[in-house]
Amino acid sequence: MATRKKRQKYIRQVSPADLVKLAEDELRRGQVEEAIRNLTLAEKELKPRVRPDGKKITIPPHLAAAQTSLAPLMARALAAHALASLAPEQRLADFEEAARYAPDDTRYLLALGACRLLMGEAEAAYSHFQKADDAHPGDALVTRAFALGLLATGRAKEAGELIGQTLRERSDGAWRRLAAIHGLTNGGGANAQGDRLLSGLSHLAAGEAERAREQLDALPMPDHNPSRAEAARMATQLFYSGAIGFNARRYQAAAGDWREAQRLAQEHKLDLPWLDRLIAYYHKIAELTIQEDPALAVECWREALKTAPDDKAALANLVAVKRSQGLHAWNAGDIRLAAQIWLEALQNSPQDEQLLRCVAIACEKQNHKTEAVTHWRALARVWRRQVKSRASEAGFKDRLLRLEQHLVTLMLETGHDDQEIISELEAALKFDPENQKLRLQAAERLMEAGKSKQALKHLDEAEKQHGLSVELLIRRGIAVDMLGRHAEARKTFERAMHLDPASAQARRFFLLFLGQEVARASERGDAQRAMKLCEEQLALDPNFDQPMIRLASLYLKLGRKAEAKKMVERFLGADPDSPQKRVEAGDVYLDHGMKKEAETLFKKAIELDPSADCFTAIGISYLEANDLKKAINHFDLAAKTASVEMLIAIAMALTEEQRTRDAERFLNIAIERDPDHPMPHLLKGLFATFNPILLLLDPKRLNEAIKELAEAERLMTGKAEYEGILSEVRAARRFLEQGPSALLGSDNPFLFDDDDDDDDEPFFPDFPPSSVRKKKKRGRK
Amino acid sequence: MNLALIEDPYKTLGVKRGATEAEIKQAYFALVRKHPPEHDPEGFKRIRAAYEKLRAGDERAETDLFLIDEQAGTFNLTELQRFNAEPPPITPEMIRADLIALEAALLLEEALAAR
Repeated sequence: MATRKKRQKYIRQVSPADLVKLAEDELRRGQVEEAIRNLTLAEKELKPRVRPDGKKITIPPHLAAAQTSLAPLMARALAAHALASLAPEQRLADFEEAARYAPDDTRYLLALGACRLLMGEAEAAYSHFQKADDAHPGDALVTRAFALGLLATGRAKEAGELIGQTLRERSDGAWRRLAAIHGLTNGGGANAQGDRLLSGLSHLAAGEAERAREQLDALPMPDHNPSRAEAARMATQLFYSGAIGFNARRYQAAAGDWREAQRLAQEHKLDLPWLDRLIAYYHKIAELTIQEDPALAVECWREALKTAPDDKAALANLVAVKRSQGLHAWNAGDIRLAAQIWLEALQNSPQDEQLLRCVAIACEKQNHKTEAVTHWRALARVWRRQVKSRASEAGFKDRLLRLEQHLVTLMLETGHDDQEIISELEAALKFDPENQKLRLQAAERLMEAGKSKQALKHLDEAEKQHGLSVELLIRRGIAVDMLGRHAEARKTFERAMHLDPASAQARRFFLLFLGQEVARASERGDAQRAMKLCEEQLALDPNFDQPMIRLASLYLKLGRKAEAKKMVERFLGADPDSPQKRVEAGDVYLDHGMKKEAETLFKKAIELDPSADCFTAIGISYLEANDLKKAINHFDLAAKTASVEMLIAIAMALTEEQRTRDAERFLNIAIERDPDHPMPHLLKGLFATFNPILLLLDPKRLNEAIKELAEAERLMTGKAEYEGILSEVRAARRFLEQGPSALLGSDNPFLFDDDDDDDDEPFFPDFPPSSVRKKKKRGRK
Repeated sequence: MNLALIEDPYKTLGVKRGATEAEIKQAYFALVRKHPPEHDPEGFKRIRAAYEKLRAGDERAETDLFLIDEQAGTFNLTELQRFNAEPPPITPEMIRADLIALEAALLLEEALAAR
C-alpha cells in the first residue's frame, strides 16, 4: 500500500511529456501494459481544461507536442494489446478503442473489420471495410479489404468485378487468392495459380481428396521461426491435412497434424475458425481407437481438454481409461507404474475419490508414506464434505472413520507436525463429534503439543457426552498436571482409582504422577515431602522399585544410613540377579561418598554381567563422582567389546565433563571399529570446536576439525537416516572453512549460550539415549 | 493392514462392492454349501476369510478402504461418454469460409505491420 502511494506520488511529479516518452520506449520494448498505463496517466494531465468562467486553459507549449502524439501512440499500444490477446472479444474491444483514438487511421478500421470477420460477423466487417474505402478510396490495402468484405457477405458479382478489374491492372498474390476464393463461391474450381494451399483446398472442395493431399503435403515448411502470417497459413494447411487423414482413417497422422496446427495457433495467438472444430474430431478419433490404440485415444482427449478445459466427456473418458490402465499395471504387479498412471489421471480429476484411494494405496505399498498421507488427506477432505449427502450410504461413515484413524497413524509414523495431526483429528470430530476415541486421541495430541488447555476442552466435551471413565480421568490428570495444577491432578488420579479400584492403568498413572511429585519435592529441597511421597508409592505398590532407590538416596541425604541400606536391600532383593540394579544402587552409594559399598555392588554387577554396557554404566557413575581415573579404567574395559554407539556414548559423557581429549580417544576407537560410521567423525569435528580459542591458536586443529566434518558429510550423503542433519553438518563445515576470524564473530554457531537452549541442539545429533542419559534424568537430589 | 495380501473378498464371494449384509450372508452360505469344509477345506478357508472381511462393520470399512476396486477400475466401452457433436463434413462452403478467415488474419497482419 505504502509502495503504491509512493509510486503515485512519484508519477505525479513526472511531467506528462516524460510519461508519453516513457510509454513510447515501453512500446518499443514490447511492454504494452505499462505503456497503456503511463499513457492513461499522461492523458489525465493533458486533457483540455476549462476555467470556472468557461474559458479554455491553454496547454503550455512544451506539452503541446506530447498532447499531439498521445492519441496515435495510445492507438498503437491498444492494437499491440489486441494482438497479444487470444480472446476475440478483448481483441475487438481493444481495436474499437484504438479506432476511437485514431479515427482517421484506416488501419484500425481494417483491423476491426478483420476481427469481425474472424468472429463470423461478415456484415459488420463489411461495414468497417466500406467506411475505410469511403475514407481512402484507391488505397491498395483498403480496396483489398473491401473486396474481401464483398466476398464474405455474398456480394459475389461486385466482388468478381472488383477482383477482375484489379487483376487486370496488377497481378498480385493476395488478389489472386481472392480470385481463387471467388472461384469457390461460384461453385467452380479455383484458379490457384501456383498457390499450393489454395490449390489443395480447391481440390478438396471438388471432392478430390487424394490430389488435395498431394498439394498440401508438398507445401514446404519454413526452416525459420514463421511470421504470424506464415503461421496462419501453415496452421490452416495442417488442419486440412489432418481432416483428409481423418477421412482416410489415418488417425495417428491426423492427430499429429492437428496438434501442430494447434501449437502454431496458440503460439502466434491466432484465432482461426477451424480451431473450434478440433474437439469433435479428437473425440471421434478417441472413440474409434479406444480399443485398438488406447494411448492415441488418451492423447486425443488430452488435446480436446487443452482446447476446452471444461469438456466433461473428454475428462471423464480420460480418467476412466487411465484408471483402467493403472489397474492393469497393478494387476501385473507393476505398482510403480500403476501409481504413476493413477497420479496422472488424478491431475485431471483431483477430487476423484477412487483415484485418490488407489494412489494412496500404491504409494503406501511402495513405502512412500509421506506421499500417501497427502492423498489420504485429500480423500478425507472429499469424504468429509460428503458426510451429509452420503449419510444413507451403507458403511460410508465407518469407512471415513477408518480412514481418519489410518491417516493419524500414518501421520504419526511419518513424523508430521503435532498441529497438523490435531487439525486432522479436529476435522474428523466435526463430522463425528461423539466419537470418544477420536476425542481422546485429539486430547492426547494436544497435550503432546503442550496445549493442555485445549486438551481439557476436549476432555470436558467427552465427559459431557459419555460421562466419567478411568481413561478420561487419567488424561485429565495429566493435562491439569501439565498446567501446574498438581493438587487438582492428584485429586483427579485419586478419582480414577476410586472409580475403578481394580484398574491397573489408573494405578500406574497415579504412581507415575507421584514419581513426578517426588522429583518436584526433591528439586525444592523438601526431602521430607519427597520421602512421604515415595512411601505413598510403596503403599500403593510394594513391589515398585523406583521409589525404593529414591527413598534410599533420600535417607542417605538425611544421614539415615541404616534405613538406606535396608531400602537398598529391599530394592535388590526384588531382583537378585539384576546387574543394572546393582549399578544403580552402587551409584547412589557413590553419590553419597560410600565408596566401599559402591565398589562391592559394582563388582557384583560385573560378575553378573561383564559386558561393555555394564562397564560403561559404572564408568559413568565414577565420572559423575569425579573419579576420573576409575571412570577411564571402566571405559577402557568397556571399549574392548563396545559397539560404536556405546563408544560414542562414552565420548559424549566425557565431553560433558570437559574431557574432550579423552573423548577423542574413544571416538578414534569407534572409527577404527567402523570406518564408515559418520557419527564419530562428526563428533570429533564438533568437539574440536568447543574451544574456539584453541582453534584460533592452533590452525592445525581447525583443519582437522574441517576434515572430520567433511568426512562425516561424505559418509552421511545419500543415507536417509542422516538427511535431517546433513545440511547442518555442511553449514558447520563451511563456517569453519571461513577461517579463524569467523570463529570470533557474533554469528559463530559454536559459541553456545550457557542456558542450554534449543537453538544449540542441531549441532548435537540426537543420539540414541544410553544409560548415560537415563542416569542423569533420574533426578537424585 | 497388509496391503500386499489383500485378496478381493467381494470377488471371492461373487458379490458387488455395494452388496448389503444380507446379500453377503446369502452368497457366503451358498458358497459354503458348494464347498463344505469336510470336502474342500482350502476352498472353505478362503470363503470364510472373505466373509470375515466383509461381515463386521469395522472389518468391511477397512476392506473397502484398502482394496483396489477391480470392478470400478475396468473400462467399459458402454460407459464411454460420447461428445455431443460429430465432426462436420468438409464442404466447399466450409473451405471458402476458412479461406476468408485466413485472408482476414493476413489482412490484419498487413494492416498493422504498415504502422
